[in-house]
Amino acid sequence: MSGLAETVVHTLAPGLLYPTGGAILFALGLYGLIRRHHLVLRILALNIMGSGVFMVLLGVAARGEGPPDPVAQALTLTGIVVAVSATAFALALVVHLTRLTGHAVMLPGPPDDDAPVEDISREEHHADGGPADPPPDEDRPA
Amino acid sequence: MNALLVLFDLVLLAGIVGVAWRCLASTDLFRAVVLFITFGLLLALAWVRLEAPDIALAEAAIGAGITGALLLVTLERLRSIMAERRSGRPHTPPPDPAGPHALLRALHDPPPERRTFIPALTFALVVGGLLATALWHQPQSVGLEPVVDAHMDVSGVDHPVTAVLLNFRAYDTFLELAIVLIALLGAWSLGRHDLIPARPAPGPILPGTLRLLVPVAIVTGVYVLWAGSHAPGGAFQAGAILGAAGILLVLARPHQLPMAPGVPLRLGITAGVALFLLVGVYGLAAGHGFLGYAEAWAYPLIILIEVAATLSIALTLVALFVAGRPAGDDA
Repeated sequence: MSGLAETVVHTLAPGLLYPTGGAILFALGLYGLIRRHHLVLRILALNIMGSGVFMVLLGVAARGEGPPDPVAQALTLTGIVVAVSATAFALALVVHLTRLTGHAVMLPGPPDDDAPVEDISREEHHADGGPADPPPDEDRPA
Repeated sequence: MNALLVLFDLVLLAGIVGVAWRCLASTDLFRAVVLFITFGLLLALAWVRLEAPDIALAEAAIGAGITGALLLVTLERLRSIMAERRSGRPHTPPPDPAGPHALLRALHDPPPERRTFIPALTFALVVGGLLATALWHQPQSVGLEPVVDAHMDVSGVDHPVTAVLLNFRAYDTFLELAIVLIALLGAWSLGRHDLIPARPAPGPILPGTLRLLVPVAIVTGVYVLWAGSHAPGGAFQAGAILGAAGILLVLARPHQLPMAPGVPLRLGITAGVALFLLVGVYGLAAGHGFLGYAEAWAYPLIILIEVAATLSIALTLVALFVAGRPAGDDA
């Protein structure tokens, strides 16, 4: 009985519980990254994966007796600032892509008629006063 | 082991994972972003539980606050771009009779297809399982805490995390500031910024609140910066708080942005990296190695770098929020 209780207590210590939670978050983010198509959702999925990594780092840093490892904490702090910069740049790219193509969805499969390059030429064509092609399907309200 | 603390850990982790799941399963992007902000705030709570108050401060200010603001303004931009494309073209079909809801629907992601379900689930389970197994069987280690503790007296500051960030591992922090700068250069390379598609709030409440909030934010930011040498806090948290104040100011006057002249803005944005590099090269010349400090000079140099880094981070975060190079700047 006391052996079992000890095992449970050992398992529930923050040093094991939080790294496990971090692994779950990483897997969850990975799953979302594969399954979702909207680029903003994919950026959110990447951020959730990153948060899982931070949770692993901080959980491992808090293991054992005494104060937590400040090097792992400093690394995580660096990671958070890098993550926000990368997210901001990625979001700027999504806005730019939407401006060029009219949608921010990455669909699986080979590129089709909605390829961005064609859309850019269409935009220029339109600017010249010529007739504009109909927008791609994603552009049309469902 | 306190049973209540264990219960708290379990509930908190279940909440974090649940919110992350709802966020990624959401078909409505606005809902996903709001859930993501909630996720960041819950994470900050978890970091407090893991004895990492520095990270909790940064997560609440940067992870939840600034990232949330960036995500919300991006959704608003996407919405206005899509509306423009629909209404601005002579040959496009007229807007859906459903009206504004049709535009709102443009910010939806349809539920994923069935055929990716099994492969994605398998892949995520295998990767997550391997990661968890590796972490469970990791040998017990005290990490670098004793090493840092033994060298605290030569670091120039009294807070271990600040000592690691700005002295022992200053190289990481230097590269981090460089990445922040590169991210902004990347965003600027995409072109001029357009107006933030926010409707200015009518009435005196927003300007009045800002007049109270911004000074408080500035005092808090400077305090957090100063506190970093001996307590949780430091340049990143202070930069995020000041950046948030800047974003509020931008939001209050979305259509009359003060167009900062190019050179002072650029100097402010590069101040952190430039000063860090200067100090690093000086250390090299003085024989302490790149980014090494003489013991007596460590404290003033760290404070100097932190002040410059705070300024750069705050300005960069606001610039990333506005996105795009300043208008009227042809350099």
